[in-house]
Amino acid sequence: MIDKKQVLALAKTMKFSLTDEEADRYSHKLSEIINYLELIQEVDTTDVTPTYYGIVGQLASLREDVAEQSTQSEQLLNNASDTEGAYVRVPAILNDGQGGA
Amino acid sequence: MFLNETIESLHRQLVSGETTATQLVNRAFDAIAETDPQLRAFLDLDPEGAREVAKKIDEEGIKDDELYKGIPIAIKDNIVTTQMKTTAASKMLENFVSIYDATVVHKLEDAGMIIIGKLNLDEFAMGGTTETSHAHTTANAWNIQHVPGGSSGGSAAAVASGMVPVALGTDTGGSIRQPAAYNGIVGMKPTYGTISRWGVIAFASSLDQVGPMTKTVKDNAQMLNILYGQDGHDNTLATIEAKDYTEKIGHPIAGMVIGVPKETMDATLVDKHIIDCTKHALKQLESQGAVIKEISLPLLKYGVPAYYTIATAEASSNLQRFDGIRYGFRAENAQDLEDVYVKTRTEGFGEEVKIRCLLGTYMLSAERYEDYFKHAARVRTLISQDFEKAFENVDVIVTPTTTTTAPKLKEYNTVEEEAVDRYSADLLTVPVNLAGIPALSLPCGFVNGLPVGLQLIGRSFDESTLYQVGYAFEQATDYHTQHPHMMKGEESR
Amino acid sequence: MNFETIIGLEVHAELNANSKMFSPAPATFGAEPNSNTNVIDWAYPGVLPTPNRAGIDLAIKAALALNCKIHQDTRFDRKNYFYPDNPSAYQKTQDKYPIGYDGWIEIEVKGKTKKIRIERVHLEEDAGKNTHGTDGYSYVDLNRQGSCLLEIVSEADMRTPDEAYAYLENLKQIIQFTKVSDVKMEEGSMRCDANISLRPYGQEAFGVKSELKNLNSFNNVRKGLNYEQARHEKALLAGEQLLQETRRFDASTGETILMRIKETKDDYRYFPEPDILPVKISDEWIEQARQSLPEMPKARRQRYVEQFNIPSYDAQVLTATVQMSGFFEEMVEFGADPKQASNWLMGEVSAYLNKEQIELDHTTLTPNALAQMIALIKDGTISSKIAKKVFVELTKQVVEDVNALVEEKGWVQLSDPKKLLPIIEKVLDQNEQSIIDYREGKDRALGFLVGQIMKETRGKANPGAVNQLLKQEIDKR
Repeated sequence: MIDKKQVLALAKTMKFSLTDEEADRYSHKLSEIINYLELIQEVDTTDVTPTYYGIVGQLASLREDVAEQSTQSEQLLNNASDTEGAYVRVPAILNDGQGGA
Repeated sequence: MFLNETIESLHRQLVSGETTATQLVNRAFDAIAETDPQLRAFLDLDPEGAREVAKKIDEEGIKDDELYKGIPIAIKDNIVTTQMKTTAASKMLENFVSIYDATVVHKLEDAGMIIIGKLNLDEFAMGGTTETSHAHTTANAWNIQHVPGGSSGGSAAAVASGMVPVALGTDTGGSIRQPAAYNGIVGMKPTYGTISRWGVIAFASSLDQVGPMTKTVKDNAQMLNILYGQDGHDNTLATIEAKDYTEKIGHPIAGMVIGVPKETMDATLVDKHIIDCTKHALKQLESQGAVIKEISLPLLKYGVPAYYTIATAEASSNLQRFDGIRYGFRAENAQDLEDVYVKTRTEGFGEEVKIRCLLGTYMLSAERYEDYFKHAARVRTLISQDFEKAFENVDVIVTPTTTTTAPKLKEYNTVEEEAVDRYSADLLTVPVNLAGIPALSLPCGFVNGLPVGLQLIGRSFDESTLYQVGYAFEQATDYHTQHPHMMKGEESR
Repeated sequence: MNFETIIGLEVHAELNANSKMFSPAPATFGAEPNSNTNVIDWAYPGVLPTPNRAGIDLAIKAALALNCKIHQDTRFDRKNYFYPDNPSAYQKTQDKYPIGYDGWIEIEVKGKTKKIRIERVHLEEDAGKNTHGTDGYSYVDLNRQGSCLLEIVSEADMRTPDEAYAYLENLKQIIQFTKVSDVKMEEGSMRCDANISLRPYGQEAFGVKSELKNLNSFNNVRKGLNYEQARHEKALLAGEQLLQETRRFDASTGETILMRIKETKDDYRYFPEPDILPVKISDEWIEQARQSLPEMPKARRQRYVEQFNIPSYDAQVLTATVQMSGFFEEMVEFGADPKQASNWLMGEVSAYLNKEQIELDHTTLTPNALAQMIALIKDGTISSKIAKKVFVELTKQVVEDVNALVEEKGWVQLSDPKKLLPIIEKVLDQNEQSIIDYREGKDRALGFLVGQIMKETRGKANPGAVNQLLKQEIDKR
């Protein structure tokens, strides 16, 4: 089960705003889906290695460290909705320590 | 129209001078002009570009060994192109033109194929009907009141109706095979790691795979021949030695062991008419000397919940990049940065995408990660092991591709469907994606005028055997030679 | 002090790779904004990462230098958060299987050595840069986005701001010796966040911590921690409830300022990055990385003391930076007397670097030239006084042949008695009183005479030779 409050919290994480009606409907829908997905809880997975990759047993192929000069910076900037000179412009970022890793 | 054409038949006509690339391109656009108003399979077309390429090809001439040169193709609109828009059927990208081409686009072009247009899908490939497309819904080629399936519904309808001879789709949980089945064509979901995902807009990165959608099995194998292989971009590609996927086509299947999972022939899960078609197909294969063996995939029913847990989790992360800042749609009147994010994403995504992102982020949250996402990843391992065990005793596994034929479009449907019912309809296709193995869907009958698909599942990187069995079946049956009634100028039944 | 202070540091270091961690765009700085970016850095629809071998190699080297164990099946994960400098809204980083773990380094504070454990050393992609305008906008430059970044997380083993300072100095020194990063805080190739909490002595549970950001120098780390330590103590003594806060250090006031209160733990929804398969680090790879590591500062210090008979303090100064240490060893290889080489580096050279605020490898000084110069002093070709003039020349341009320079400038000492004797005779003739004074035991008279001879030769006379010849000639009279 997932209530409206939880749905709104998830929406906040995903950067969606939901109307009251949507929050109600989504919580109903998601509860139903989650209830169904919980079917896998009955599978005993003790000592089973999880599979996270589409191809198992293969290792990453690594790229050699050769820099390739980008030729597309102008095109990249052209596709952005708001630019200033060579910068991408966004409404002021509040320095609240949330960003950056 | 290309209803009775194959890659080889078109190639012969091109080489002999019976036709030209320009004529083939015109033929495609004529067919589209005639048929697409009803089916609405296309999202974007490139008549000028296609004619220019065709003209150049005609000037160069086409040699005997240039099998693909001059043949028109259309691709699903979640594959990025610089010559046409790439929208993923989302408002989020409604005017987006990529500044790079997908690897598969390069491969098609290198082979001399002419990309004439982009095909409809469910928004970001999330859905099984094309009804979640922001642009419009595509109709089934056999009955326009029914869905074409999805998410590669546009690709399936375009090939089934003969608007293009071949198309590309993508398959995350059945998105090639299910629409192929619904439209009576051949669709291959290759082994994960066969075809580069560079330039394929990610839905669920560990499950997504591109594949060909064709009228015939041989066409399909020939398409795979030019699509597989390393490109230096996709880290998850396997190293595949130079290979001819048609190598086993025409080889007899006598003695081959075909496993039929008893769980997939359960009439409580699968429409009994479809089970009948499947049984009929198995008899046909048996008549060619194949040994039919009942097997068990005990974890089959856990495939869908494990799949939706993993796929939505990955999708919730993959779709975060759409924020209105660097490309694509951006909401107006955003007051501050948070507003740019929230308004853009709220207005830019449709409901199905939002539901899946919310679900996925729920699965990844710190307190649920272990019990949901990680647990599903373990179930995934067990499902793979189920298949591995089965393949110790059989060469190919055969199941129906879908549990029903193509359902009616929402507007013709009187019963409101629950999300869970829609998800559980993926019962037969998603385990294949979870295991990363290849599967082919090909026509095996009709129920009430709607096509039925037979799914052949193989060992990792053993697409050739699937083509071998598929070809043997196709040659012994006439399903692939039948064409949608609307193409004969009839109304749908 | 009623409380024990607990400090842990997270240090980020930009690795010296040519290209970015997951894209082949150049990892050079100072370029036109967004010019070193491609579709991968912009997180275009459909792009995929290609992991850089060099990034992994450099991280292995750093991990080994920090005495870490290596995860031979290392993996990448996604850390999800929205921010304009993080285009895909997930950072490719390492969560469960960092390249290095369980390491340590040694620090020395007030003569006492202490081991600080290192929890993990992991590889990740750097974020872009946001510039905050005054016009209500921020400006995003993605040139740095995707560069190879190393994160070094210490255990909460430090107990004073001084220990934190010493840890950073040592860490910087070690990383610098491995050459995997420039580790320059002022250039942003090294960054530091600090966690600090206080607890009553004897209590096992940690107190409420605050996280300090914007610490752009080692001094500011120490100042910020001192400020926080005092702030926490005051609050705890007053019985106030501390909240878990992220705070920014303001260098102009020396205070920390609240950025936000962390009510709940941030949930970054980590999960394995499906686009990057696990990376296998073979025994051979680790061995190769180990072989390629230079001798670390501590070992070098010991060796200098034993091999070159250099005082321990001097050895410490010489190994403060990899440049200085390398320069010293090269001078010795070029035949310089180790003690002399050390004296020059600690004296003239250091003074020059300090005065000019310049790094040794950005000067025209070469180990060869300095070694030549020391040799010329030793064989009497130049005096130590002239050597200082020579040194000034060496700081102006790269000099290949110091002997030629000395000759060209006419700085060669006069040591030849045939040339010196006529001058000595002349000076003695002019200063008979001084000879008398000298004979009466006034040593200063001799000094005066030497001075006169130096004056006559414009300082070129070899003082040793002059002294000897002068005494000889006086005795003859």
